[in-house]
Amino acid sequence: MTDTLPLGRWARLSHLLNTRWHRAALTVYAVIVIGHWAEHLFQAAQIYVLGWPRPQSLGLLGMAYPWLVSSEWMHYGYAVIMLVAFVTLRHGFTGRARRWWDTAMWIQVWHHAEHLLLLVQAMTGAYLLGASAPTSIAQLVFPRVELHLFYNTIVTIPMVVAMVLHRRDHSSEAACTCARPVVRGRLAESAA
Amino acid sequence: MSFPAQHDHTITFAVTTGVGWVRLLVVIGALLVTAAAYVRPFAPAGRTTRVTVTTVAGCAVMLQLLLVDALDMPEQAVVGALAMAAVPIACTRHRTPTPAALRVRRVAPWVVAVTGALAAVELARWLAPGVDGGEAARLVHTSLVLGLVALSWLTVCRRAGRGARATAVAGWLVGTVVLAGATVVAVAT
Repeated sequence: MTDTLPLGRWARLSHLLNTRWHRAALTVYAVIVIGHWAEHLFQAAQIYVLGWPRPQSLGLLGMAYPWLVSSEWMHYGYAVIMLVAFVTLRHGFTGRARRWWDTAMWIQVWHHAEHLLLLVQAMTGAYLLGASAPTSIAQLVFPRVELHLFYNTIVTIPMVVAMVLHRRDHSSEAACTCARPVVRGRLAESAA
Repeated sequence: MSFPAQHDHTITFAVTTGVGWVRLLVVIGALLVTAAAYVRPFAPAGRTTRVTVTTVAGCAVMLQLLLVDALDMPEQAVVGALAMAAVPIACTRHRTPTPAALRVRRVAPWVVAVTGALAAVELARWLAPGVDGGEAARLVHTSLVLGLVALSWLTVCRRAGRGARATAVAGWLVGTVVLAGATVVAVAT
Protein backbone atom coordinates (compact mmCIF):
# COMPACT_ATOMS: atom_id res chain seq x y z
CA MET A 1 0.00 0.00 0.00
CA THR A 2 1.60 3.24 -1.09
CA ASP A 3 1.47 6.56 0.75
CA THR A 4 0.58 8.57 -2.32
CA LEU A 5 -2.99 8.32 -3.52
CA PRO A 6 -3.50 6.81 -6.97
CA LEU A 7 -4.82 9.16 -9.62
CA GLY A 8 -7.83 7.26 -11.01
CA ARG A 9 -11.21 7.63 -9.35
CA TRP A 10 -11.67 3.89 -8.94
CA ALA A 11 -8.09 3.42 -7.76
CA ARG A 12 -8.63 6.19 -5.20
CA LEU A 13 -11.86 4.57 -3.97
CA SER A 14 -10.14 1.19 -3.81
CA HIS A 15 -7.30 2.74 -1.83
CA LEU A 16 -9.69 4.29 0.68
CA LEU A 17 -11.73 1.07 0.98
CA ASN A 18 -8.56 -0.81 1.85
CA THR A 19 -7.14 1.74 4.27
CA ARG A 20 -9.25 4.34 6.07
CA TRP A 21 -12.61 2.76 5.23
CA HIS A 22 -11.52 -0.89 5.43
CA ARG A 23 -12.95 -1.49 8.86
CA ALA A 24 -16.29 0.12 7.99
CA ALA A 25 -16.48 -1.75 4.69
CA LEU A 26 -15.73 -5.08 6.36
CA THR A 27 -18.38 -4.34 9.00
CA VAL A 28 -21.02 -3.63 6.36
CA TYR A 29 -20.01 -6.77 4.50
CA ALA A 30 -20.12 -8.87 7.67
CA VAL A 31 -23.62 -7.55 8.44
CA ILE A 32 -24.80 -8.60 4.94
CA VAL A 33 -23.28 -12.08 5.30
CA ILE A 34 -24.68 -12.54 8.82
CA GLY A 35 -28.08 -11.33 7.61
CA HIS A 36 -28.06 -13.91 4.83
CA TRP A 37 -27.14 -16.65 7.27
CA ALA A 38 -29.75 -15.46 9.79
CA GLU A 39 -32.42 -15.61 7.11
CA HIS A 40 -31.55 -19.20 6.26
CA LEU A 41 -31.30 -20.26 9.90
CA PHE A 42 -34.68 -18.62 10.58
CA GLN A 43 -36.09 -20.53 7.64
CA ALA A 44 -34.66 -23.79 9.01
CA ALA A 45 -36.13 -22.99 12.44
CA GLN A 46 -39.56 -22.47 10.87
CA ILE A 47 -39.37 -25.97 9.44
CA TYR A 48 -37.60 -27.98 12.12
CA VAL A 49 -38.49 -26.12 15.35
CA LEU A 50 -41.88 -24.61 14.61
CA GLY A 51 -42.91 -27.47 12.33
CA TRP A 52 -44.29 -25.22 9.61
CA PRO A 53 -45.00 -26.70 6.17
CA ARG A 54 -42.10 -26.08 3.82
CA PRO A 55 -44.03 -23.95 1.31
CA GLN A 56 -44.88 -21.52 4.14
CA SER A 57 -41.35 -21.48 5.60
CA LEU A 58 -39.91 -18.51 3.78
CA GLY A 59 -37.67 -16.98 6.41
CA LEU A 60 -38.24 -13.56 7.98
CA LEU A 61 -37.96 -11.28 4.96
CA GLY A 62 -39.34 -13.99 2.71
CA MET A 63 -42.65 -13.89 4.57
CA ALA A 64 -43.07 -10.24 3.58
CA TYR A 65 -41.42 -10.60 0.18
CA PRO A 66 -41.76 -14.23 -1.04
CA TRP A 67 -39.93 -13.45 -4.31
CA LEU A 68 -36.74 -13.02 -2.26
CA VAL A 69 -36.66 -16.76 -1.72
CA SER A 70 -37.68 -17.89 -5.17
CA SER A 71 -35.93 -15.39 -7.43
CA GLU A 72 -32.83 -16.64 -9.22
CA TRP A 73 -31.84 -12.99 -9.74
CA MET A 74 -31.77 -12.47 -5.97
CA HIS A 75 -29.49 -15.49 -5.45
CA TYR A 76 -27.24 -14.36 -8.25
CA GLY A 77 -27.19 -10.77 -6.98
CA TYR A 78 -26.05 -11.93 -3.55
CA ALA A 79 -23.31 -14.06 -5.14
CA VAL A 80 -22.13 -11.02 -7.14
CA ILE A 81 -22.13 -8.77 -4.07
CA MET A 82 -20.03 -11.31 -2.19
CA LEU A 83 -17.60 -11.64 -5.08
CA VAL A 84 -17.23 -7.88 -5.52
CA ALA A 85 -16.57 -7.47 -1.80
CA PHE A 86 -13.98 -10.25 -1.80
CA VAL A 87 -12.14 -8.74 -4.77
CA THR A 88 -12.39 -5.10 -3.67
CA LEU A 89 -11.44 -5.51 -0.02
CA ARG A 90 -8.63 -8.03 -0.46
CA HIS A 91 -5.82 -5.47 -0.71
CA GLY A 92 -6.33 -4.46 2.90
CA PHE A 93 -5.40 -7.95 4.09
CA THR A 94 -1.80 -9.00 4.59
CA GLY A 95 0.10 -12.15 5.56
CA ARG A 96 -1.91 -15.17 6.69
CA ALA A 97 -5.13 -13.17 6.72
CA ARG A 98 -4.63 -12.43 3.01
CA ARG A 99 -4.11 -16.12 2.22
CA TRP A 100 -7.34 -17.08 4.00
CA TRP A 101 -9.21 -14.20 2.32
CA ASP A 102 -7.91 -15.25 -1.10
CA THR A 103 -8.99 -18.83 -0.42
CA ALA A 104 -12.51 -17.65 0.40
CA MET A 105 -12.45 -15.42 -2.70
CA TRP A 106 -11.56 -18.25 -5.08
CA ILE A 107 -14.24 -20.50 -3.57
CA GLN A 108 -16.69 -17.64 -4.11
CA VAL A 109 -15.48 -17.28 -7.73
CA TRP A 110 -16.54 -20.88 -8.29
CA HIS A 111 -19.78 -20.40 -6.31
CA HIS A 112 -20.56 -17.38 -8.50
CA ALA A 113 -19.83 -19.39 -11.66
CA GLU A 114 -22.29 -22.02 -10.49
CA HIS A 115 -24.94 -19.34 -9.87
CA LEU A 116 -24.27 -17.82 -13.30
CA LEU A 117 -24.74 -21.23 -14.88
CA LEU A 118 -28.03 -21.66 -13.00
CA LEU A 119 -29.14 -18.22 -14.15
CA VAL A 120 -28.30 -18.99 -17.78
CA GLN A 121 -30.27 -22.23 -17.51
CA ALA A 122 -33.24 -20.36 -16.07
CA MET A 123 -33.00 -17.78 -18.86
CA THR A 124 -32.68 -20.25 -21.73
CA GLY A 125 -34.97 -22.98 -20.42
CA ALA A 126 -32.24 -25.51 -21.34
CA TYR A 127 -30.89 -27.42 -18.39
CA LEU A 128 -27.49 -28.95 -17.86
CA LEU A 129 -27.14 -32.29 -19.67
CA GLY A 130 -30.89 -32.62 -20.12
CA ALA A 131 -31.78 -32.28 -16.41
CA SER A 132 -35.39 -31.53 -15.43
CA ALA A 133 -34.45 -28.36 -13.51
CA PRO A 134 -31.53 -25.90 -13.35
CA THR A 135 -28.57 -27.96 -12.20
CA SER A 136 -25.11 -26.99 -10.98
CA ILE A 137 -21.84 -28.67 -11.97
CA ALA A 138 -21.26 -30.04 -8.48
CA GLN A 139 -24.66 -31.73 -8.60
CA LEU A 140 -23.29 -33.99 -11.34
CA VAL A 141 -21.00 -35.52 -8.72
CA PHE A 142 -23.04 -34.99 -5.56
CA PRO A 143 -26.69 -35.47 -6.48
CA ARG A 144 -29.50 -34.36 -4.14
CA VAL A 145 -27.17 -32.49 -1.83
CA GLU A 146 -28.11 -28.96 -0.75
CA LEU A 147 -25.08 -27.29 -2.20
CA HIS A 148 -26.08 -23.71 -1.46
CA LEU A 149 -25.63 -24.21 2.28
CA PHE A 150 -22.42 -26.15 1.69
CA TYR A 151 -20.95 -23.44 -0.55
CA ASN A 152 -21.87 -20.66 1.84
CA THR A 153 -20.28 -22.61 4.69
CA ILE A 154 -16.97 -23.21 2.93
CA VAL A 155 -16.86 -19.55 1.85
CA THR A 156 -17.79 -18.19 5.26
CA ILE A 157 -15.27 -20.22 7.28
CA PRO A 158 -12.07 -18.96 5.58
CA MET A 159 -13.62 -15.48 5.38
CA VAL A 160 -14.17 -15.39 9.15
CA VAL A 161 -10.67 -16.78 9.80
CA ALA A 162 -9.23 -14.04 7.56
CA MET A 163 -11.18 -11.34 9.42
CA VAL A 164 -10.08 -12.65 12.84
CA LEU A 165 -6.43 -12.82 11.76
CA HIS A 166 -6.74 -9.38 10.20
CA ARG A 167 -8.03 -7.95 13.49
CA ARG A 168 -4.90 -9.33 15.17
CA ASP A 169 -2.55 -8.12 12.45
CA HIS A 170 -0.26 -5.43 13.88
CA SER A 171 2.44 -5.67 11.26
CA SER A 172 3.64 -2.56 9.51
CA GLU A 173 2.23 -3.97 6.25
CA ALA A 174 -1.35 -3.37 7.38
CA ALA A 175 -2.41 0.08 6.17
CA CYS A 176 -5.89 0.07 7.69
CA THR A 177 -7.24 0.61 11.20
CA CYS A 178 -8.83 -2.80 11.63
CA ALA A 179 -6.44 -4.16 14.27
CA ARG A 180 -7.94 -4.22 17.78
CA PRO A 181 -7.15 -0.91 19.54
CA VAL A 182 -6.63 -2.47 22.97
CA VAL A 183 -3.98 -4.83 21.69
CA ARG A 184 -2.39 -1.99 19.71
CA GLY A 185 -2.17 0.00 22.95
CA ARG A 186 -0.51 -2.91 24.70
CA LEU A 187 1.92 -3.26 21.85
CA ALA A 188 2.75 0.44 22.08
CA GLU A 189 3.33 0.08 25.82
CA SER A 190 5.57 -2.94 25.35
CA ALA A 191 7.47 -1.12 22.61
CA ALA A 192 8.01 1.87 24.91
CA MET B 1 -29.23 -30.76 7.91
CA SER B 2 -31.21 -30.74 4.74
CA PHE B 3 -32.29 -27.40 3.47
CA PRO B 4 -35.70 -25.90 2.77
CA ALA B 5 -37.06 -26.97 -0.55
CA GLN B 6 -37.93 -23.38 -1.42
CA HIS B 7 -34.28 -22.61 -1.99
CA ASP B 8 -34.32 -24.54 -5.22
CA HIS B 9 -33.48 -21.86 -7.78
CA THR B 10 -37.00 -21.58 -9.10
CA ILE B 11 -37.32 -20.31 -12.63
CA THR B 12 -38.69 -16.80 -12.35
CA PHE B 13 -38.60 -15.81 -16.01
CA ALA B 14 -41.98 -15.57 -17.68
CA VAL B 15 -40.32 -15.91 -21.09
CA THR B 16 -37.16 -17.89 -21.79
CA THR B 17 -34.69 -16.88 -24.48
CA GLY B 18 -34.06 -20.33 -25.91
CA VAL B 19 -30.62 -21.74 -26.65
CA GLY B 20 -29.93 -19.97 -29.94
CA TRP B 21 -27.54 -17.47 -28.39
CA VAL B 22 -25.83 -20.20 -26.39
CA ARG B 23 -25.26 -22.15 -29.61
CA LEU B 24 -23.93 -18.98 -31.26
CA LEU B 25 -21.52 -18.34 -28.39
CA VAL B 26 -20.26 -21.94 -28.52
CA VAL B 27 -19.62 -21.70 -32.26
CA ILE B 28 -17.90 -18.30 -31.97
CA GLY B 29 -15.82 -19.59 -29.07
CA ALA B 30 -14.80 -22.70 -31.01
CA LEU B 31 -13.83 -20.57 -34.02
CA LEU B 32 -11.71 -18.24 -31.89
CA VAL B 33 -9.90 -21.10 -30.16
CA THR B 34 -9.32 -22.87 -33.48
CA ALA B 35 -8.00 -19.69 -35.08
CA ALA B 36 -5.55 -19.28 -32.21
CA ALA B 37 -4.36 -22.87 -32.70
CA TYR B 38 -3.90 -22.34 -36.45
CA VAL B 39 -1.82 -19.16 -36.15
CA ARG B 40 0.10 -20.29 -33.07
CA PRO B 41 3.21 -21.57 -34.92
CA PHE B 42 3.57 -18.25 -36.78
CA ALA B 43 2.53 -15.67 -34.20
CA PRO B 44 3.71 -15.90 -30.59
CA ALA B 45 0.79 -15.40 -28.24
CA GLY B 46 1.13 -13.00 -25.32
CA ARG B 47 -0.25 -13.65 -21.85
CA THR B 48 -3.50 -11.80 -22.56
CA THR B 49 -4.09 -13.87 -25.68
CA ARG B 50 -3.39 -17.10 -23.83
CA VAL B 51 -5.71 -16.16 -20.95
CA THR B 52 -8.41 -15.18 -23.46
CA VAL B 53 -8.09 -18.39 -25.47
CA THR B 54 -8.15 -20.68 -22.44
CA THR B 55 -11.06 -18.78 -20.88
CA VAL B 56 -13.08 -18.83 -24.09
CA ALA B 57 -12.40 -22.56 -24.46
CA GLY B 58 -13.51 -23.20 -20.87
CA CYS B 59 -16.70 -21.15 -21.30
CA ALA B 60 -17.50 -22.89 -24.60
CA VAL B 61 -17.10 -26.29 -22.92
CA MET B 62 -19.40 -25.20 -20.09
CA LEU B 63 -22.06 -23.76 -22.41
CA GLN B 64 -22.09 -26.89 -24.53
CA LEU B 65 -23.47 -28.81 -21.59
CA LEU B 66 -26.69 -26.82 -22.01
CA LEU B 67 -27.06 -27.91 -25.64
CA VAL B 68 -27.04 -31.65 -25.20
CA ASP B 69 -28.88 -34.17 -23.02
CA ALA B 70 -25.73 -36.20 -22.32
CA LEU B 71 -22.15 -36.60 -23.46
CA ASP B 72 -20.53 -39.84 -24.48
CA MET B 73 -19.03 -40.22 -21.02
CA PRO B 74 -20.31 -40.61 -17.43
CA GLU B 75 -21.52 -37.43 -15.71
CA GLN B 76 -18.65 -37.65 -13.23
CA ALA B 77 -16.21 -37.64 -16.16
CA VAL B 78 -17.89 -34.47 -17.44
CA VAL B 79 -16.80 -32.77 -14.23
CA GLY B 80 -13.28 -34.10 -14.92
CA ALA B 81 -13.40 -32.59 -18.41
CA LEU B 82 -14.43 -29.24 -16.94
CA ALA B 83 -11.57 -29.46 -14.45
CA MET B 84 -9.20 -30.24 -17.33
CA ALA B 85 -10.47 -27.16 -19.16
CA ALA B 86 -9.84 -25.05 -16.04
CA VAL B 87 -6.18 -26.07 -15.60
CA PRO B 88 -4.77 -24.01 -18.52
CA ILE B 89 -6.77 -20.98 -17.33
CA ALA B 90 -5.12 -21.22 -13.92
CA CYS B 91 -1.68 -21.72 -15.51
CA THR B 92 -1.84 -18.74 -17.85
CA ARG B 93 -3.18 -16.41 -15.18
CA HIS B 94 0.21 -15.82 -13.50
CA ARG B 95 2.74 -13.45 -15.09
CA THR B 96 5.61 -15.60 -13.81
CA PRO B 97 5.04 -19.34 -14.26
CA THR B 98 4.60 -21.16 -10.96
CA PRO B 99 6.27 -24.57 -10.34
CA ALA B 100 2.86 -26.19 -10.86
CA ALA B 101 2.45 -24.34 -14.17
CA LEU B 102 5.86 -25.60 -15.33
CA ARG B 103 4.83 -29.18 -14.52
CA VAL B 104 1.58 -28.65 -16.42
CA ARG B 105 3.57 -27.34 -19.38
CA ARG B 106 5.66 -30.53 -19.43
CA VAL B 107 2.66 -32.85 -19.60
CA ALA B 108 0.61 -30.56 -21.86
CA PRO B 109 1.70 -32.15 -25.20
CA TRP B 110 0.57 -35.55 -23.95
CA VAL B 111 -2.78 -34.17 -22.83
CA VAL B 112 -3.21 -32.51 -26.23
CA ALA B 113 -2.37 -35.80 -27.97
CA VAL B 114 -4.74 -37.95 -25.90
CA THR B 115 -7.73 -35.60 -25.74
CA GLY B 116 -7.25 -34.60 -29.38
CA ALA B 117 -7.19 -38.24 -30.46
CA LEU B 118 -10.33 -38.96 -28.44
CA ALA B 119 -12.02 -35.95 -30.04
CA ALA B 120 -11.15 -37.31 -33.49
CA VAL B 121 -12.49 -40.76 -32.56
CA GLU B 122 -15.80 -39.27 -31.39
CA LEU B 123 -16.13 -37.29 -34.61
CA ALA B 124 -15.31 -40.42 -36.65
CA ARG B 125 -18.02 -42.32 -34.78
CA TRP B 126 -20.49 -39.56 -35.66
CA LEU B 127 -19.55 -40.02 -39.33
CA ALA B 128 -20.22 -43.75 -39.15
CA PRO B 129 -23.44 -44.92 -40.83
CA GLY B 130 -26.54 -45.63 -38.73
CA VAL B 131 -26.00 -43.00 -36.04
CA ASP B 132 -29.38 -41.50 -35.09
CA GLY B 133 -30.20 -37.92 -34.00
CA GLY B 134 -29.70 -38.13 -30.24
CA GLU B 135 -26.61 -40.29 -30.51
CA ALA B 136 -25.21 -38.02 -33.23
CA ALA B 137 -25.61 -34.91 -31.05
CA ARG B 138 -23.97 -36.68 -28.14
CA LEU B 139 -20.96 -37.72 -30.22
CA VAL B 140 -20.47 -34.33 -31.87
CA HIS B 141 -20.67 -32.43 -28.60
CA THR B 142 -18.32 -34.90 -26.91
CA SER B 143 -15.86 -34.41 -29.77
CA LEU B 144 -16.16 -30.65 -29.42
CA VAL B 145 -15.69 -30.74 -25.64
CA LEU B 146 -12.58 -32.91 -25.92
CA GLY B 147 -11.22 -30.87 -28.83
CA LEU B 148 -11.64 -27.59 -26.95
CA VAL B 149 -9.92 -29.06 -23.91
CA ALA B 150 -7.04 -30.17 -26.17
CA LEU B 151 -6.73 -26.74 -27.78
CA SER B 152 -6.88 -25.06 -24.39
CA TRP B 153 -3.94 -27.21 -23.25
CA LEU B 154 -2.16 -26.42 -26.52
CA THR B 155 -1.78 -22.81 -25.36
CA VAL B 156 0.47 -23.89 -22.46
CA CYS B 157 2.70 -26.11 -24.65
CA ARG B 158 6.17 -24.81 -25.53
CA ARG B 159 6.30 -23.17 -28.95
CA ALA B 160 10.00 -23.84 -29.53
CA GLY B 161 12.43 -26.69 -28.95
CA ARG B 162 12.02 -30.41 -29.29
CA GLY B 163 8.59 -31.52 -30.44
CA ALA B 164 7.45 -28.02 -31.37
CA ARG B 165 6.71 -29.05 -34.95
CA ALA B 166 4.72 -32.10 -33.80
CA THR B 167 2.78 -29.90 -31.38
CA ALA B 168 2.01 -27.43 -34.17
CA VAL B 169 0.74 -30.23 -36.43
CA ALA B 170 -1.31 -31.66 -33.57
CA GLY B 171 -2.82 -28.20 -33.03
CA TRP B 172 -3.84 -27.97 -36.69
CA LEU B 173 -5.36 -31.46 -36.67
CA VAL B 174 -7.31 -30.93 -33.45
CA GLY B 175 -8.31 -27.48 -34.70
CA THR B 176 -9.78 -29.10 -37.81
CA VAL B 177 -11.72 -31.57 -35.67
CA VAL B 178 -13.08 -28.70 -33.54
CA LEU B 179 -13.93 -26.70 -36.64
CA ALA B 180 -15.87 -29.65 -38.05
CA GLY B 181 -17.65 -30.19 -34.74
CA ALA B 182 -18.54 -26.49 -34.47
CA THR B 183 -19.92 -26.50 -38.00
CA VAL B 184 -22.14 -29.45 -37.18
CA VAL B 185 -23.32 -27.76 -33.96
CA ALA B 186 -24.08 -24.61 -35.94
CA VAL B 187 -26.13 -26.23 -38.69
CA ALA B 188 -27.22 -29.73 -37.79
CA THR B 189 -27.86 -30.41 -34.09
